[in-house]
Amino acid sequence: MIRFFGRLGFLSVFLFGSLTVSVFAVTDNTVNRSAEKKCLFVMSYHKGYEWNDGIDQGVSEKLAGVCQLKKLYLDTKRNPSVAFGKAAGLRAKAVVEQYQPDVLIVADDNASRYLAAPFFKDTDLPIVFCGLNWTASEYGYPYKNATGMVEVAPILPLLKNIQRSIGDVKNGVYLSSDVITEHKDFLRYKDEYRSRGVMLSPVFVSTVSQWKEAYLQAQQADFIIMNNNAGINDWDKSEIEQFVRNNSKVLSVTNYRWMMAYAMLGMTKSPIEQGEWAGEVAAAILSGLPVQEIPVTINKSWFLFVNESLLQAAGISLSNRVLNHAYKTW
Amino acid sequence: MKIKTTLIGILGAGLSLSLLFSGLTLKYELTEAEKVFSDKVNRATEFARQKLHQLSVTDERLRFLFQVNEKVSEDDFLVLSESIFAQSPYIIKMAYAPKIRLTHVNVEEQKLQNKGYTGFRFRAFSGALGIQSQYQEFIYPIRLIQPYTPYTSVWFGRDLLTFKPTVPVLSKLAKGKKMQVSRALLSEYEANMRGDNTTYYAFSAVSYNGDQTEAEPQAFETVFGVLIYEIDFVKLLADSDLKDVGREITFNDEPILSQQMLTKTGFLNIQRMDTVPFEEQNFTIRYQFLDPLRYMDFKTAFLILILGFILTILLVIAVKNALERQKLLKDQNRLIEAKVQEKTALLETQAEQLRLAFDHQLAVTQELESFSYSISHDLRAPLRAIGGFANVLSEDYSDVLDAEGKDLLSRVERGATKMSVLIDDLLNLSKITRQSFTICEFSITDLVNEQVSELCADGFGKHTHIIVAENLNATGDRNLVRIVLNNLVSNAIKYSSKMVSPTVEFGAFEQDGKQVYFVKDNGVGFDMTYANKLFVAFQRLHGSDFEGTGIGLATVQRIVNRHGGKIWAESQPGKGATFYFTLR
Repeated sequence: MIRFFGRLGFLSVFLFGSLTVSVFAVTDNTVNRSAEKKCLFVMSYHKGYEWNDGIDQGVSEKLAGVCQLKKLYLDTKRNPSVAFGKAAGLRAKAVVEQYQPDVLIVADDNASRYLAAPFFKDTDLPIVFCGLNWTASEYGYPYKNATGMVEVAPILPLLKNIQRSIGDVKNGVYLSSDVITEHKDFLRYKDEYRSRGVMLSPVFVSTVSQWKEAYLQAQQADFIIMNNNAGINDWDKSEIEQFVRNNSKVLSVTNYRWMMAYAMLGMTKSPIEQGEWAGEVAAAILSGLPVQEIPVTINKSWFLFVNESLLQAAGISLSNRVLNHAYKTW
Repeated sequence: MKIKTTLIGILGAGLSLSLLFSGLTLKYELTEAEKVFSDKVNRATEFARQKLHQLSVTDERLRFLFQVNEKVSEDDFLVLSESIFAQSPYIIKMAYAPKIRLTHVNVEEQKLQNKGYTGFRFRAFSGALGIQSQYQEFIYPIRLIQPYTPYTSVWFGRDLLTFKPTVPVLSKLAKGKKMQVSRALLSEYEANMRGDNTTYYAFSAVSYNGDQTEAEPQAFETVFGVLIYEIDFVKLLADSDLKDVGREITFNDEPILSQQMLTKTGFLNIQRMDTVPFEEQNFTIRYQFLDPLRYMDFKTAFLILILGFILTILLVIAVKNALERQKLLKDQNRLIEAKVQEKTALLETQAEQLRLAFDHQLAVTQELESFSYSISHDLRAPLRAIGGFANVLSEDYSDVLDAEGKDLLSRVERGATKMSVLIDDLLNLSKITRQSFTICEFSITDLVNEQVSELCADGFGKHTHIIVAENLNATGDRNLVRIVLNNLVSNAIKYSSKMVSPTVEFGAFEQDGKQVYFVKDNGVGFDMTYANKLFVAFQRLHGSDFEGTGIGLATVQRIVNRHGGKIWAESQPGKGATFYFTLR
């Protein structure tokens, strides 16, 4: 009898202990979950847009396990109107207020333009921006509650590689779509190149036929800067690929990854770098580093690409120094 | 008590010696372990020295590069720093702060803003780490940082001249010191984040005129940039393969690292302190051997101890046994001595009794022999008279005697003659013991042949075939042996004379290392039942069938006995007899 009750007593203690441990474990988990930081990541464009996805990848990798990450797409690439942008900004504001994030990450210009600048400038919500072209001051940065990475095209490094590839150059053609961003970009190129004795002639086009004509004209220059085609609505990839293959004599360069289908040498920005920086900064802020202590910075890494088949078609050979450091494409 | 004291003494001495040798072995092992420690420490210090030298070299090259290029781009700095990080993993961060005149500050700020650093301003260090700059004409803002992270970006644009920990270091750099090390953190946040205080920064001045000298005042004017390295001195100085060694590293008396040092003291507290100079500053590394026992071989010492103990125990047991045996022997000797003395006394008494008995027996024997000789000798005269007168009577008065008278007279003559022979034999027998005894080696074959010749000279044994073995020698008294042979050969001829083809053989063989001579015949033989009577005087086994006095074999035995030999016989009736004898 004593033996039976002894066993029963032991069993009771064991069950009680197990239950207590389980309850504590569940409670602890709940507490942890409630203590987990929240991050809201608002992207200007849509999922599937290459640049946007690159930033998303960088942010997601750096914040994995750091905070509960919620993503929001404003989709302003496919809907470029100001009205849509403003509406998207309002929707995003509602999400912020409802979600109550510990840090807000905004990627590319429109997220800052329609969300950060109008609603959260100098508030207590820490903001990390990335992917802003050339300057953040356009959206009122710096705020006391914001920092981030500005997206700068590698203008001078590109010139260095042009010089390394074909030697001394004096004049080049800047061929791009006729949009305001490209005009702004041209001014930066022009100043930097002129200070180094290289004259740039701009050609802004709206159609493929204009682009083709300008491209043929540009064969008289030392090199062609082939900038963004966004804004040329009748762009046909295979047609242009074929065209440049048949009509290229001088070196063509670009700062855009997707333009490497038509250019021979490319030095491109990395969306992943932008995303990683934003993620790292958000993590640092969550760990206690005051946001105002982190200065606004610029992107520091670029990728070098060469289009070997196009170079071959044009009969241009680049120096080994360039080729050895470049990714090969097309 | 004495044995016990001795044994305790041996035990004590043995154990002490075992402990001493075991201790000496341990001491030797400790010395060997110390050598191991010393080698390890030498290598570690040399390793640290090399790495510090490597740091100086790296800094010198970098300074040269900055001197030559004056302006180094972010790209170049990235490439440079990555290469340096790869070669010197103990350099955690690198930064460069160029000198900017205050009149140019706005221009420089604008340039950076245009480049993309929105809202950029050069700033002073703030908070507890900040200090008012003493220099009014220029600032040293940090412009290049690698790796550039949100944490290190905090330094970006901060004026080094307003950083409290580096100000004294910078003034030293201004006086021409090459490289200065300072414990400093460039942000309070970092200090909070790290929760330790082990980071050191090395500052190096890049100047127009190369290295300055202390004699040149205000040389800071020529310094156009300051290189900053965050250095993990723990990794640099202690990241060597140093097992079982604790380390304490101090820099200018400030502790950098305390790595598992022991508080133990005593003979196992093996320590060493090395000083590694670095740009006129000193790192002190105190090493302590944490586990010298691991490097000591205890087997030998243990074996010596155990063997020593065993040998001591065995020695004690052996000595104890020896001492006890000695004591026992002494006791036994004492007993034996007493017994020997007792036995000796008894023997002496017995010997005296024997001597007396012998003397008595000798006297009796001599008296008997003398009596026997006298009897024999004295009997000869009347016997000669009887024989002589009987002979005269026979010769002179034969004609007056009838036949019966003559027969009786002849019987008297024969009796006298027989008695004369008997007396001669008795005289000879008694002479044997008194006769002089001369031992020599002689040819017994020749002696046998002589006796045969003598015996057979008057036709005795003329039908007997006599075989004498050749080339036999003997050692003894030749005259006495002659008597032996004469008796044995004549007996053999005599007792075989009635056989059809009588044969007598003399020979010898070896038995038990002794030469055994024999005389063999094929005569009548005798019954061995009576063999014990053979050598008794006047005992005859064949009665009147064969002539004889019964003295011969008794004489033979006495001679053989006098030679220390032995005589015996083997026979069967009708199948001859063999007499064997030895002489020694």
